[in-house]
Amino acid sequence: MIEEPIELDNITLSLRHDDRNFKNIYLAPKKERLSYTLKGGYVHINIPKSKGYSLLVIEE
Amino acid sequence: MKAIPDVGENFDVETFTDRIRNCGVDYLVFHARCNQGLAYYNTRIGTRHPSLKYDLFGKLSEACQRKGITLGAYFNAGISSEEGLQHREWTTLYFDGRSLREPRFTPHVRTMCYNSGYRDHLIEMVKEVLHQYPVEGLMIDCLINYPCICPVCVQEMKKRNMDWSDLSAVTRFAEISAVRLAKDIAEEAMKINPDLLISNNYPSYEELLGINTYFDVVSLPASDSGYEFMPVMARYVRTLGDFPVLNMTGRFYDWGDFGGLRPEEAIKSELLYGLANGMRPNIGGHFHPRGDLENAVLDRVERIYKELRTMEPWFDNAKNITEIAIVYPKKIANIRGDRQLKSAVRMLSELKQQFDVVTLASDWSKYKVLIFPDDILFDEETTRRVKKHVNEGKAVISTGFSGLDPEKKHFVLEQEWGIKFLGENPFDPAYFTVGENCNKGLPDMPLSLYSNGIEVEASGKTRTEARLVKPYHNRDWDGEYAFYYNPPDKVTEKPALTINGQVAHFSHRIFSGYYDKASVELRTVFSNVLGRFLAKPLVKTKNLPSFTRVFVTEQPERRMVHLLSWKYANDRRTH
Ligand SMILES: [Zn+2]
Repeated sequence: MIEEPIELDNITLSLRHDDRNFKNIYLAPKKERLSYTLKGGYVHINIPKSKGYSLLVIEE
Repeated sequence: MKAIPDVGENFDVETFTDRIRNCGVDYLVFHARCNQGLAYYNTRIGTRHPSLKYDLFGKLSEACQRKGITLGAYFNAGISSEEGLQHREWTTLYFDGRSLREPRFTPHVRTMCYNSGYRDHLIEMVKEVLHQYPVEGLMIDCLINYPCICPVCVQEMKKRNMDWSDLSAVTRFAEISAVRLAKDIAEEAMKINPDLLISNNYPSYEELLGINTYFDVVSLPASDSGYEFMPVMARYVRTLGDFPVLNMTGRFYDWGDFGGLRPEEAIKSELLYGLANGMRPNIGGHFHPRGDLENAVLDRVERIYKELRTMEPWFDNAKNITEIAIVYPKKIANIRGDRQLKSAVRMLSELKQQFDVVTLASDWSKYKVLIFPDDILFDEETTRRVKKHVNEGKAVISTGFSGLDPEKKHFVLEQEWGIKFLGENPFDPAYFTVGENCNKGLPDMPLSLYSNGIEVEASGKTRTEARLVKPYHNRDWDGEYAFYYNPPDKVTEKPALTINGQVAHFSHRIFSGYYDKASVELRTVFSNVLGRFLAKPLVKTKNLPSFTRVFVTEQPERRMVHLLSWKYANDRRTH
């Protein structure tokens, strides 16, 4: 059985950008902006904290 | 239960539907007729519950219509004690002449024959409900392939040249009968309401394509299905077509459990897992037959749905992006239960890969890598597709007996695999040692394979990337000693891993091994091989534990990445 969410910090998530021009990157639903860098065909996103569930949105 | 003396006595339909609406529920499925065959509406055909004093379903349907809640009528098809008691010739007959199941303490004690008079009776009840009430959905549950050798079934099996004395043929016939009943119910129902939502539950999803307008995937992780069932089904059902799939979990721990309310985090995490895979949330309850309002349950559902609804814009019609397929062209019973499939799904999930589980029912051409876990023997159609995939320069990883012909005599695509099948490997336990091309992150020592496998001979320019290591002795009992402690002896020339162009083959059934032991070394070597074929996967992560799940979905002009970090405790019965 699941009882508690697990909290993680300082995560780096890299999403292949497949030649798309992603520029608006945030956590839903509060639209907290996240910093990112572009390198080697990936957009590298830093997520300071994630507890249980995080919904990361990468918009063109 | 028929014995309940006060059905519906406390039911306050206005408060109940107000609460349901405030939870954000847009579709409610409620029993018109229950698992015991009793109706909760005014029926001229069936049997209304004897202690119910009014038209409960009718009242509910009227309130739902007024409040904008779409109502679905629930019928159980496979089990119906009341009707089985009244018409004993409507129940299934087993090989030994029994019509009751042993042991008898089960909801399935008496099961229904889909070719008896029950068939028309059920269709008529469905029609009756659709004519009488503003119902927009239909769920037909438990269309299970209960074997039946009643005279009606035997006669038809004889006509079809099916062996009525063979359990698997009779079971197959029962499945054909169940699907036929589902189809006939749907046809009659659509005549009354062409926009009806229909979900038949239990026959294979592939056979219900074109009959169901939406699908339910029912999973109670705290009960028999465990936490490894939904991950397989979520990745499989979505490959069958573009229709709504509901992810049905329960507020309770087990069926028939009226006194269980699982933690908010448990239910929420299961629903989010579905949402990250394009499945809509559905929480099952056990309604109190007296109609008692279960505020504790509704409070919990309301809190969960309220949170989920804040994220609805990013879930709506989002589609998963996948680039790998686990190919599993087997029957639904295997897809539901097989260990090596669950293991492959778990391994790729831990590696944060984006993948589907596919059968022959879907197109494989979009995938960059096809994975054949352990025991996938190649029929003609699989062979044709794999040959095309490899000719297009795309990759394959197969393990154990996968890739052999159905008689297990040779590799069907010997040239593409670049190896010859020599026979089964006798090493027990089998060890292997991995060469420098694929050993990143592995301990430098002979490693256990935790599974059996085959022997192959590498041909032409096929590279052998890992070799089998022979144990001193096999596991055995020699009359005096149990050979339990069997260390690795010498490295052999026998390949444990070969790579020919874009095709990699592991000689042993590493997914079975991973299911049994969760050996991180097996996952690491698999990941190294996958990394050679898919150097730039859709997602890469740093600082994420193995249990975190990552999904990528897409809507027009944006992508979503879902991170799920829950871990189930192993200290209770959770599998
Ligand atoms: Zn029958």
